[in-house]
Amino acid sequence: MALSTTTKIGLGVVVAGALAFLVLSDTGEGVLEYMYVDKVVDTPDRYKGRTIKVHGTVVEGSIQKKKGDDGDFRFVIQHEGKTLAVHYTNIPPDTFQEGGEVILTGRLDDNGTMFESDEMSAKCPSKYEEQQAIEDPTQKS
Amino acid sequence: MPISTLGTIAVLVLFLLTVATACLGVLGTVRRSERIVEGAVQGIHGIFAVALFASALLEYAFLSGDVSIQYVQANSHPAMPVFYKLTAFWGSLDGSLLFWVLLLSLFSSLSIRANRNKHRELMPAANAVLAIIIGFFAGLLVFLKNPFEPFSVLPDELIAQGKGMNPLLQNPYMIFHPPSLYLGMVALAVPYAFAMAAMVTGQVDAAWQRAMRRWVLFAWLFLSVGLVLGGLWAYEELGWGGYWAWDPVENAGLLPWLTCTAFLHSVMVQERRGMLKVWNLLLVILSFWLTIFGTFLTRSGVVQSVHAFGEDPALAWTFGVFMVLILVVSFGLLYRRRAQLRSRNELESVLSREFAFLLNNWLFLVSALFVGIVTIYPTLTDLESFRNFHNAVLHPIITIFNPDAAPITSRVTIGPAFFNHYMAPVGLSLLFLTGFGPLVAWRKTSTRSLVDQFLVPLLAGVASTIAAAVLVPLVHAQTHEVLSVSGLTCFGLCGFTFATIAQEYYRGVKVRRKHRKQSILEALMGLVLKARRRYGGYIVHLGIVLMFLGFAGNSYKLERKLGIYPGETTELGEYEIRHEGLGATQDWQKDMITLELSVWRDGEQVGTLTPAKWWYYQLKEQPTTEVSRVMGLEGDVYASIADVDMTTGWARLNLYYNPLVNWVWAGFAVMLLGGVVCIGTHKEDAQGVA
Repeated sequence: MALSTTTKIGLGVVVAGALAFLVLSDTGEGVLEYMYVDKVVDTPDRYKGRTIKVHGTVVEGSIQKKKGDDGDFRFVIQHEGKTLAVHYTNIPPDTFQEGGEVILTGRLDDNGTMFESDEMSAKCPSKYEEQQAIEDPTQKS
Repeated sequence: MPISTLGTIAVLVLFLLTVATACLGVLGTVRRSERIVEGAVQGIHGIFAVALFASALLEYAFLSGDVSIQYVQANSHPAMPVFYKLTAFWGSLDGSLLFWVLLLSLFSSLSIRANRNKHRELMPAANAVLAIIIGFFAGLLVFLKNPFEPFSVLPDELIAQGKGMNPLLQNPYMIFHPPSLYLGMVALAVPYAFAMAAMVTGQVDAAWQRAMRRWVLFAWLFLSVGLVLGGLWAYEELGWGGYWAWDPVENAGLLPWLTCTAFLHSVMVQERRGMLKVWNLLLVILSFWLTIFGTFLTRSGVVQSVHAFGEDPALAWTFGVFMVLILVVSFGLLYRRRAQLRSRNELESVLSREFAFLLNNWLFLVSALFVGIVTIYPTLTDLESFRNFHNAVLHPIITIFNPDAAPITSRVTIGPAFFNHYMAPVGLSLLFLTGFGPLVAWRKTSTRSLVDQFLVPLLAGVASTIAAAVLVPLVHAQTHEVLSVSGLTCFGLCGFTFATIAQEYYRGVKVRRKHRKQSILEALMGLVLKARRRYGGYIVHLGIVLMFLGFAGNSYKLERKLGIYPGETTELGEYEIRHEGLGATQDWQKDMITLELSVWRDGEQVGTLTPAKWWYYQLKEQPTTEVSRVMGLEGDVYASIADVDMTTGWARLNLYYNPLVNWVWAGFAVMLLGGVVCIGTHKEDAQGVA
């Protein structure tokens, strides 16, 4: 004797309900767009008011640091000649340095000229081949 | 002769031998000639011998620091400890491919020795499939990624030193983590080869699966070890206070683990009820495919950026074609044999063991699909054509649920929060099934036995939910005002499942003691040894329950980031933490700055934390973060330094309180023990399976 039709429909409803609940309660947290600096600088209006990830190289000599209780860094990142000022308010990872590549999570301010960020992953300039940068999960810290 | 030349020749011989063996295997399958099959068997053993020689040669090159070989130069450094020089063998793509060949030829050799007489009819085809898989990797070594490739121009003084391994990876867990995952992944080729052989020859009875169950269990054990060691490494080395972040590399190991776990359950349904035959073959095929997919994903760099695909198109295409080929051939065969694989029975009731296993399997498979797709999704959004597809087809659907969603214009990243949102409920459902499954009978459960079986576990579940609801705020009076729903559910389900396991053991021991005069301990041992698979499985489940306790604790995690001067005190939950001073030391390898923190609770010192930062001389610009923790059953106080100022002694700290975290590791140890009990299963036990 196989399962009755009623049971099958009941199971279908339970599964569909659970799935709908999961999708509806999904706030989109954790899903972010990611791009190089130049794209943000070229089309700032597209990204204003949204949390995004921006990838760029820290410009030499641009890091200004204040020793204090709240991490408070100001620096400039660039890609393909386009630069963007960053205000970073958290603890930077070990690999954060001038000339190094960083990926910042944050928002563009209303003027579209300053990137407010409190999350960073950084990788070393070229010491390691790509292979090892991939295996280095500090990037997610 | 230089090592590079000798090694290159060895790799070439290896490849030619696999081609010859594969041909003999195919010919043996078609002609059914004893002599040809014997040739293929000897070929497999020969492949292992040559792979061993080539691997030994590469190790020798590392030990002797032969930097004329590119791979050695890139992964070794004279100052590296010998142990790390040895493990640098599989540190990068080229070497890990050779390592893969070595392990696979070893496993092929062993499985063929073990099954020669038992499964004679499968031998020729199994030989052929194994040789083809080895041949694929050996081919990569010969044509694309020769680990013995010398520099065409001798490198200058500076390069001649060797670059060395990232200090972050020079950690004991990291020595065992990758090979353990590798062992697990490679071992899955054996059941796949036998499954293919069974389908080719039409011998799709349950006999071959019984032989293969142990290989899958073996693979499952090593995948588990690899995954947990990776978690421990992240927890102790990276300083972000967690152990699992749905990183693509971690996910690549998790995917085959999920399908293996599904198979280990569903194979019991086939043995008992003659159902799910196609499903089981599908899981074996998929598990193997996922190991190739995972290797490609993580080793080619494609997960970081789709451009890695463009940088090494030959490698990407070779892998791509191989992966498509596996799917087409395997599923083609499966379709051809579908008539022979028809189920003997039907599902009769929702309250049956079969149904519990079926649900378990669906959840594992859906998890694997979900994690797999979400892991590669960011890479796909690198492509403009895929973004257009997303915006045209998927975006309208997404906006129904989330009107704020914007169309995507560049690569998307997907973080842990997204994974957790979907996977936490799946995990809790699986935990529920861990308890539910053993309580229901095969075919259907009568109402009387339902009450008899469920009463105690349900009460235990309710009691532990209430206990957690009362205890957590009581213990953490000021710090945890909010009670987490998933946390409470998890505690409740842990209680429910634990009671199920205890009840099974209690009843088993009681029956045993009724029939013979034995002490409780004797009866318990006898019980486990008599039906290892059933009671070993329960031990694995117990380990899972303990691990979930740790996951539940994670909902009550505390996190603080702050700057602190010497003599200052800060609070973390019930703990007080005081800055006792900053010290600078050095050894032959590195400069070290160590912070001393005393940890107090209720006016008593409970421990000292000494987080540090190390600057390896070899890599000054990239200091490593050394985590320190005060461990306890109740949880860890965990600290890492982000930044220091030596003139004032000021330090910026990451502080975490991770409740119940050590239960994850303890539970894992229990799980491992259960797995070892199961793997010792004798053939006779297969009948008395739970």
